[in-house]
Amino acid sequence: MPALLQYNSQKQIQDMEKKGTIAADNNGAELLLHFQGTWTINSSSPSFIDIQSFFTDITLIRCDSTELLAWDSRLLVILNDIQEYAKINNISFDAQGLPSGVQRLLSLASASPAKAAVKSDDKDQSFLQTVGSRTSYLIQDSREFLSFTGKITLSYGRLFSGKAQFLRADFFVFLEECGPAALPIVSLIAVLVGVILAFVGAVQLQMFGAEIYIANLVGLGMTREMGAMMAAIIMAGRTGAAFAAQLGSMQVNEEIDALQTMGINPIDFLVLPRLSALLLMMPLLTLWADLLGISGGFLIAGLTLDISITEYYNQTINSITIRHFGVGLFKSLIFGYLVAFSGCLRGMQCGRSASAVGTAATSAVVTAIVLIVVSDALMTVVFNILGI
Amino acid sequence: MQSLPLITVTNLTMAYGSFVLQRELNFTVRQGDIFVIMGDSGCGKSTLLRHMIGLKEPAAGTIHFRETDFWAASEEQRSQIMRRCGILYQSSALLSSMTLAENIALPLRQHTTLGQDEIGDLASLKLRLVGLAGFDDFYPSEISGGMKKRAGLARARTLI
Repeated sequence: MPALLQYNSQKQIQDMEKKGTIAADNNGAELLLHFQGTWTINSSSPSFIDIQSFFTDITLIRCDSTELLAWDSRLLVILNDIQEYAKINNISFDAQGLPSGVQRLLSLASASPAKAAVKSDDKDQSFLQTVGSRTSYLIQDSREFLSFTGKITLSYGRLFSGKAQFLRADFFVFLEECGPAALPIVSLIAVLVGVILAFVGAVQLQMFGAEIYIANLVGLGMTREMGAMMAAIIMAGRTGAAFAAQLGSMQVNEEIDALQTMGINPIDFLVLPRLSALLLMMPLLTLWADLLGISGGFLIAGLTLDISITEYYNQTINSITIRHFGVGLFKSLIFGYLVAFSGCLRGMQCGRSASAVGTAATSAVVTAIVLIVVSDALMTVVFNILGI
Repeated sequence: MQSLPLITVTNLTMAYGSFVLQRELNFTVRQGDIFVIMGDSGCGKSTLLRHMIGLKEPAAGTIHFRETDFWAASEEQRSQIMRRCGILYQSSALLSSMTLAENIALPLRQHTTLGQDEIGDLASLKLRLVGLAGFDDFYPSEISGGMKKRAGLARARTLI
């Protein structure tokens, strides 16, 4: 089997060539390290921990590379470790026996010392530190909320005194985005919410023979609460996130900096048209959602409970007043402000990287939804106390 | 004879939170000077410029444009000073939703009483001066990096 024997011997040679080894000659206080074979990324070679036991009771480390076949950064890593270890333990390190390229790279690596750490690592924080840093973040975020609110107020002041500058074309684009473009999704969700309300009511009210009151339930539910809230949540996910992403990418591309340095107020130019467009469109979307929700309710009442359209219509008209529509529309204005505010705030706070844009968009949606639910709860309690 | 100081930076300390980038920088840029800021990467060259163009408030020290203390001035005064400065960003910072002509016309629309036609002519001229004649209706995404830089330069020189 000569061919196989020859093949084996070649493989053994190849294996030897793929391996990097170190032999150590300990001559009293002097250690001579022989680097042999292939020290490359793909080869198997010892790490610094494997050879750390060589460095006891010595004052000088020298290197020999006469049997070194090939090298790359793999060799540099271990040599750098040896050099660092020698420096810390006051051992002299002589790199003369190494290839000149290795010597140059080693001196380059040691020429740039590690910078003092300036980045705190949250993972190393204790529980109390985490609570503290989260609390201070919340306080800082609240300050930014207030500061942004103040800036928007001043901006509206400039708008009403004719000093605010934004492009009219931008405003109409945002009107279209916040209104007609959102109609299909708002319509679908509103009808389905009306259907759900009617179904939930039907099951309970049928037990008392009071099916007709489904009209009251759906009518009041949609006009006072669900119409405004569902439209706002859709707009938070759709338009609020878009605002944050638009402003965030402008932040990444330094476009907002450029506006500032051109003497153009970014709040006037970017936030005002977005906020105004959503403030104008939200009540209209809510009104539309109310009507479609009521229609969805009728669909269920008519199909499953044999309530005629006239009965349902009369019952709805009798149960809903302008006051109920007013409550819903007032809420929609507040929600519209909160959605646009969250989107624009998170966009303006965006960092300078592509991933920061995604974070800003996510944060805008979460902030808007939390603010919508909290403000809705507050308004519901207040309206209840005031008897509205 | 030495020309008048245009920008005077005095004891400027730049910091991000508690991390101090540079302490007590002092220099003067005079009219007609070509002034170069050199240093290692990460030493604060861009941050220094951000302080000088009103994008970041100094931790300490002052920046004077002629006699005006930039950071002690009102927002309106700062805005007026900035209108006299042309700033070219590393990324060009052209507004991506606007054409090149609209980008250049923007500061003219905001800060002058020129009519639409005059603004259009000026924008075309500025683009011509940087070798971008005929690119008025192109969006930043439709041109190369070098062309964006030139368009940025044209916009930086719009009000000057």
